[in-house]
Amino acid sequence: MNLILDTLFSANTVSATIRVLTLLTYGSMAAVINVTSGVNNIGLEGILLSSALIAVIGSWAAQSWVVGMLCAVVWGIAISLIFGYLVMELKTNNILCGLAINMFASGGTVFLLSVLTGQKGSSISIPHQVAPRFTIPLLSDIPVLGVLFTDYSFFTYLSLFVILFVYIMIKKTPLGLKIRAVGLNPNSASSVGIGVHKVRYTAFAISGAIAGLGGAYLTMGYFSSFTRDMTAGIGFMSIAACNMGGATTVGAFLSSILFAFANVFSNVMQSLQMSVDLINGFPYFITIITLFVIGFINYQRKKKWELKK
Amino acid sequence: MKKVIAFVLALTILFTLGACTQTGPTSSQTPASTPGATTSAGGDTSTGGDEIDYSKLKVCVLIHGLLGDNGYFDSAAAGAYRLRDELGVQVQVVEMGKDSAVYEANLADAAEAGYDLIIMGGFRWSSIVMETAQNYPDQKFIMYDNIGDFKNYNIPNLYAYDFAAEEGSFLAGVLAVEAAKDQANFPNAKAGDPLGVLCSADEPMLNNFVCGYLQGVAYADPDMKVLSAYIGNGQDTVKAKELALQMYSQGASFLFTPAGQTIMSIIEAAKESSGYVIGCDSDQSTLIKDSDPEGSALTITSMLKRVDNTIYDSVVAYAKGELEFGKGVPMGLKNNAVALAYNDNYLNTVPKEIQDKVEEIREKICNGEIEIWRASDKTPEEVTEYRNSFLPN
Repeated sequence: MNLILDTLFSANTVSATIRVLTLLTYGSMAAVINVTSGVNNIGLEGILLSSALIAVIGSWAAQSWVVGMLCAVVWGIAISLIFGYLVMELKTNNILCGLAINMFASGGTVFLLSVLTGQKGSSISIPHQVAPRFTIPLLSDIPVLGVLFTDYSFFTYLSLFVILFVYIMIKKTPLGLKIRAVGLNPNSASSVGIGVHKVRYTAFAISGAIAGLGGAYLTMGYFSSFTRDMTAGIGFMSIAACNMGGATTVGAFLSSILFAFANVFSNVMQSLQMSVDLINGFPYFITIITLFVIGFINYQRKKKWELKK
Repeated sequence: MKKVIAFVLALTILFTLGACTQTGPTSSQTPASTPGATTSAGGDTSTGGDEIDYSKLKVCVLIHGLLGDNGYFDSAAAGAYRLRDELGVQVQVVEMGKDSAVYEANLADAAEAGYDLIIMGGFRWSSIVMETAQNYPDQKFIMYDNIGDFKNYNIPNLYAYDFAAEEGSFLAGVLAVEAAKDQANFPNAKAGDPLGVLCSADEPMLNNFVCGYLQGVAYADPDMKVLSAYIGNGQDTVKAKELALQMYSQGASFLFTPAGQTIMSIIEAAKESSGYVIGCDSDQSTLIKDSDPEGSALTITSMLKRVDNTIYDSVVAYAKGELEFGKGVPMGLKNNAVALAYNDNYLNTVPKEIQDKVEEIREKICNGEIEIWRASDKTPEEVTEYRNSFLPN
């Protein structure tokens, strides 16, 4: 038992959690903006995957990771706006449209990869620049907490600013207010003179840019090459984290932490003689339990509210 | 507006199909040198007076997955293309993709298309091959990577062979133990460190790799500890990398990786934590030599599954009329079906004594002096118990 506790609270576990958390943060922040604006986009997985490849290509062509990152962001915005156009102007079903984006990304990345490199599995034959890793000088000297600031990718630090940005944008800016209004009730919003489509397009663009950053982190920070279908459900997990956190910035971030920790926990447990099948199911088990608890609390609240009425 | 939707949908379908249609020759496959590779290289077709006319032979190779994995499936396709390029056999390679629902239909289509030989892998899908073989008794089939079930199926028209993955993995285990002791050439290893094995899923066929490796470790050093972990599937690169980092941080200096497509991410973990990797299925070290010299150097060697050689050899044997249908054959180190990759990295970094020892044990396995049991013959509980007996306390 001591061994389990020791491993669980070691510096390695913390840094592993933060690495996975970075991935989930970008995804769930993008999802938060989408949900707040009233349209759920399950194409997030596809946006992450395709922008991961675009980042590689940009960074390889220009031999500069900044260019790669910008390409990924632009691509994320473009795909997101196309999604917005299909859903709002052409009135397609948003779930179907998201599915189409996922399939497009899964097949399209392999297609693009084979055109560019002749290989369909991974991008190892086109070496590209990855984002630097650094340690924050003074903060990393703090005894216990120092590990939080030691040797992470640029994208990990950037993700903190993204959270801050999303929080402030939704809570404190006029644009955020409009996005929330449009999300709650588009008809009332338009009756007071808010251009529903314009606001939603803006929201999609921001969400796409954040998802693009997430994709860039995947191939320029977390890994240093693109592998086919490498997202393996991260987009969906981000959407789940967003919904579990009630589509609020803080809630989504907290549930991302929970998911990331559950993932790392299952990895740690596995190397400590625990049953593989049991342990691999752990993150999902945690999800169900938490959803149950949140659902129960909401139910109680609603009941009280109805009694008051 | 409808046109735009139609256009977008058409594009989606096009790209999705683009990933899984039939493909032309891929030249990216680098053949690795294996011990005694000459047995299959020549083909020996013109020894006798009567020439065999290979150009009339029509062979269909069905790939039950996606090409471009730099491993198993690419190796099968490479074997097929070698038949075409060297002997002029009419070869059709069909990439069936990940959707297993179409395999049976594709196999039946191929059986009705009038090929002389149909070749498909039996990993996970052996029942489909055997059922189709039973339904088309006049069509000849070859199934690789599965020994076949000739008791319950009436299939005298099928030739099945299996890779003795445990034999090659045994060698990998011996090599890992010896290399871990040799701090002069492998400075990142520390005495008393455990070894590690990271496998894609906990299932009998894959446990053959794990248990073969463990037996090799136990043979070379009975007191050696081994950490083991399973990713859960062959695609989850994030989980593979996290598990690898976790195992390196627990002290494992050498990881053996029967982990499919995720091996590249394990090599990245090795770079970050200065560990070593023994690859699997194909020669990863040679593959990334130019693009990633650092990762290539840490990948000492790979346990190869020579799907290409065995397909080539069995088609040549069929053409000569030597292939015995109606039975399943295990193919191991002796047949050169599995091997350690003796690539540049292995030859240069591993000292001569260790190379000699590995070679000596290889011969012992070929002679039958060392017997290795298979995980697929045991119950899952026995395998788990065996695996856990290697864990550090």
